[in-house]
Amino acid sequence: MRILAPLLLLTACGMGPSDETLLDELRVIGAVIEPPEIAPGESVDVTATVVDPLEAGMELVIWACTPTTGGCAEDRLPLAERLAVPQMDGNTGTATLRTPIVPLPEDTVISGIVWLLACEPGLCDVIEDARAALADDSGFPDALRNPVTLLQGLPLTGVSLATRSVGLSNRPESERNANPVITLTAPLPETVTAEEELDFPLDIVDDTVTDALVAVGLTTGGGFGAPLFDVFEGRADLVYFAPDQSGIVDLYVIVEDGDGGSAVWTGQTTVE
Amino acid sequence: MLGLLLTALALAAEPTLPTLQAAVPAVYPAEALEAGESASVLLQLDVDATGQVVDVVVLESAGDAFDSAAIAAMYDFAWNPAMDGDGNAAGARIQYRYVFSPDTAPLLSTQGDVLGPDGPMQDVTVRATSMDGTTRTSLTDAEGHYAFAGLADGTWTIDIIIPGYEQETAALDIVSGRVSEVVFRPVIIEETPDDADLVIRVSAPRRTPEITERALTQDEIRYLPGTGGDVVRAIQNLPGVARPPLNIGQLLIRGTSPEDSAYYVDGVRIPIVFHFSGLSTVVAGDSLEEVVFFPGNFGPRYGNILGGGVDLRFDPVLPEETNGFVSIDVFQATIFHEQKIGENTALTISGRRSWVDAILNPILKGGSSTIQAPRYYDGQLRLVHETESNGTLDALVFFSDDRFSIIGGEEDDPNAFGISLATTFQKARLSWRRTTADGWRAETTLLAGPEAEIFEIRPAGQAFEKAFAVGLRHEISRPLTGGGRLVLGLDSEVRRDSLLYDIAAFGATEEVVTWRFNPAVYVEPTFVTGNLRVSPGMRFDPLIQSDGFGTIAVDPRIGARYEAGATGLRASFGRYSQFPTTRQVAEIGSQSNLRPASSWQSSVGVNQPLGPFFSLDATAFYNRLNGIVVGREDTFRFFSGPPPIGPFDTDPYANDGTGQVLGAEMQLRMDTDSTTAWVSATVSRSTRVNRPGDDTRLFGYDQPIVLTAVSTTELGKGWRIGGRVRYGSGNPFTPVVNRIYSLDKREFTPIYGPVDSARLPGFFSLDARIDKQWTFARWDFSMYLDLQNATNAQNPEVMSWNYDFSEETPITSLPTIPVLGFRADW
Repeated sequence: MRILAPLLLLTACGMGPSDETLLDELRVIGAVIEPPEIAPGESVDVTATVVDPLEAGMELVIWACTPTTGGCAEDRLPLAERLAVPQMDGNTGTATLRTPIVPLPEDTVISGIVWLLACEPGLCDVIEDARAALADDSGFPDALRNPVTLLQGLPLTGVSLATRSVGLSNRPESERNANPVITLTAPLPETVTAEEELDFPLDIVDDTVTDALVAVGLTTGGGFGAPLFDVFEGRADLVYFAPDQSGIVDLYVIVEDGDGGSAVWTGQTTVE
Repeated sequence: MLGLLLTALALAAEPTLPTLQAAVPAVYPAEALEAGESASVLLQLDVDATGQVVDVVVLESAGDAFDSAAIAAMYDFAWNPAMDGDGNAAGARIQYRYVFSPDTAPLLSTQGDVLGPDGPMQDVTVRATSMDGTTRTSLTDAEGHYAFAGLADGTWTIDIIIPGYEQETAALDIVSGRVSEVVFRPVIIEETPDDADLVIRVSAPRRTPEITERALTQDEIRYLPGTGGDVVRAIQNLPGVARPPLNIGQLLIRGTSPEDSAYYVDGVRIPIVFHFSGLSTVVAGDSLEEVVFFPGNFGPRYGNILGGGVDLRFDPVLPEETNGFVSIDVFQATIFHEQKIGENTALTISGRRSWVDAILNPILKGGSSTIQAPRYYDGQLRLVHETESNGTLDALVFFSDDRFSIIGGEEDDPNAFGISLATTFQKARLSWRRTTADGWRAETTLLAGPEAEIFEIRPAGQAFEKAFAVGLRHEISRPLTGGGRLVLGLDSEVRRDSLLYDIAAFGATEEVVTWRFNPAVYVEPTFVTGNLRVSPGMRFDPLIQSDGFGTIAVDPRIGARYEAGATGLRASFGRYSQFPTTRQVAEIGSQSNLRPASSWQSSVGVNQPLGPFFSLDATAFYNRLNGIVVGREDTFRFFSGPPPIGPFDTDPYANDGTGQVLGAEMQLRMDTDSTTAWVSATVSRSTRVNRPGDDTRLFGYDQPIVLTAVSTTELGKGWRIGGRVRYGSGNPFTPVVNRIYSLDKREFTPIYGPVDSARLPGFFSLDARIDKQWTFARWDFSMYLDLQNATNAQNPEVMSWNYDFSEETPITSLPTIPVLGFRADW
């Protein structure tokens, strides 16, 4: 009968900006894998987007670990090909990782897992351990093998762990998944007024998978009308609500195709 | 020789007066006892040559009430007769002073009325006879009322002798501290007026009470603040009962989960006892003779549970006259009507329906969603027939239906998102009871019908547990020498279960169709020696499931009571078993090596009157649980247990769980003519170990402290006020210590800390109630205001989290709710 509890939660609903779209603490909000689908053993570029609204600073570690019985499928790879502690360029960090070498039947797509851990400086010793391991080419840090156990020992705030899947297949390149492309249908206004409601139409090109496309709006001020917006016939109509206080706000739109393909658009406007 | 002669002459010259052989306590006048009044009455007794009192005259009165009580007691005194000068027994007239003192007032044992065709019958002799031949008598007063006090524990037969009326004798189990109500309705012998036999219809407990059981009267229940007058919700105020999360109508008994307890109608199991809002019981309380609550250490009559239970027992006595009521409050409307439809037959019809949907649905209609607000209804149709052979045939049809749904679109749109819940049952029960003149009792109850719990998430899928169950209980009992009783019983159930779990997000799909047969037998003799009553018992519980699974539980139990004056001491010890669920067994059927979980329960208790108004009842208990079935946890577990919050134990089912519950409970009661009040307190600690080697953790429903203070007072002129204060420790919950963000799914997955290692804040609630009743010639009208959660306390009930698990956002209890109700009785 405790199912009544979720039933009660379902009755809660509201209008206006969604709280879920406001970024008020450190968070990994996106990771674009290029290409999002690849043959086992080949390399991909990972571009992480990390938002630090509190401007406390951040460190980032990215590693590949596709869980298998007793370890990771990438355990046989050289350390530098599965682990990276990238320097941040603004709020992005990039790394090149190799995918695990696994036998695959034809026309089968499996997911490799990439992990991204961002921490405020000094909160996560494991990042320093990773940096040291890379420097002296020692073994893969054990703490990264079990992210759940790792997180149980880390604080709730100032830490953000995210996962992204990478499609692994032996399909021809022409049949593989590709990342979508986001284009704003109109330029983002340089200024908006407080509490202004702003239509936010996007054109999205995705040549491979279209059914599961969704657009995610995130911001450091105000909020989008919903956490997720459907993409219909290559277009998404997001609604943004400006905050009631003036200042510069960052806006992020991330499109996900549900198979690991994604795109991140970043913009900025001033609330007057 | 001379000496002998002189002695004989001396004896012959000095006749003796009667000497007291056995005194019996007089029934203390209730109002005087309440007021703490003492008194003495000087009486003149005529004692005949056999030592019997044949006439009583009051010489110094202490008022009618004291005088009548003293006179009635005098006729039960036994004397050694007077001796005349020749050494022969002789009649004599003596004086005797009977002293009434509140400190030595005997406990009331049984009372009632003698109601003739024309109303109360005065000066009727009511006779109580124990198994060892002890006889006590009582004369009815002007209201036809009689009472017995200080009867020894055991079986007594009660009868009345009124020339021209038919006779019937019934057995009654007397237990110290429990007052039985016996109403006599003598019927004139019309066809054979010369026959001096009598008919007596008796309302008396027809079973041996559980040593640990607790009972509430209808009046106590009806006016309890915060319970809406509901019979089973009232039990939540008793010691040993913790408050369930969201107060959704479950009983948490002595540190066990709701699924470890069971609910019965006349001893046969029913699937639920509350509508899912928890507002009311699924059967009308006014039909019930008693609601028996057993918090643990019960006898072998009940099985397949590790916690406790509630048995709703219908009143087998025909109504004196047509009666009924209609009540309406902000939540529901209820109607109840009871009527004799012949000399020996009565019909009862009752029904209840909630209001909320009737108000909300028209308001919500027209939006983008189809919403079926929470709605429940139930109904009962009952026919009771008393046979010429002192038996009662009792047929009952009853049903209950609860539903709730939200559909994001048109109801017939298969792709619309929606969530719905339904809990229903329809049952037919046939019961036959008979009591013979020599104290044999037999009771057979057959209960059958479908039951279902259905949960649906559209369009993802649905899950249900449906069954058709047939329960049969047959119990016979007979008196034993010395006041004891032997009980033999069959408690069987056969059921066809149909289970479906088909919601991908909740767990793997499963479909089960199987039969279960559980023919349990039990025996419980009760031996009485002096002030000691001992009830050893045994229950054999076999289980057969159609997929080849079988197991058996053998549960020995023993309970004892000792009356040391006004103090009652009790102790119980026994084994209690609970079978694995149908779903747990069906996974591998005959290959399953699951066995029943068991609990060794022990308890000791004491009840002690504290002056004329107060009484104390305290119990300490320790339960050791073994072989609890664990494993294969998924969200579907809400059907059969608390859904785990936190990491699931997905290993195969095994009897690996253990646990223990240690606690003490206490109830301090005050009863006066105008006020009923009590304080209940329970302290306990309930822990579990899921698998061997795991750490001991708190049980999910562990509530170390539960306090309830409740009072209801009659002010006169139809006014009554009451209040209730409750405090309970918050339930443990599994905290979220961190989260992982899936960029693919754009959702957070919680990382949990140790299971049940955090605790919700305590629960506090103040309820107040005021009633006003107007009495008219043919009917009564009453109105009440039940102010629930008067302080608007925001009590966290269940822990929840925001979207990214960064904040705890507990679901809180209901705010202040003023429940205004009206009731008309006829």
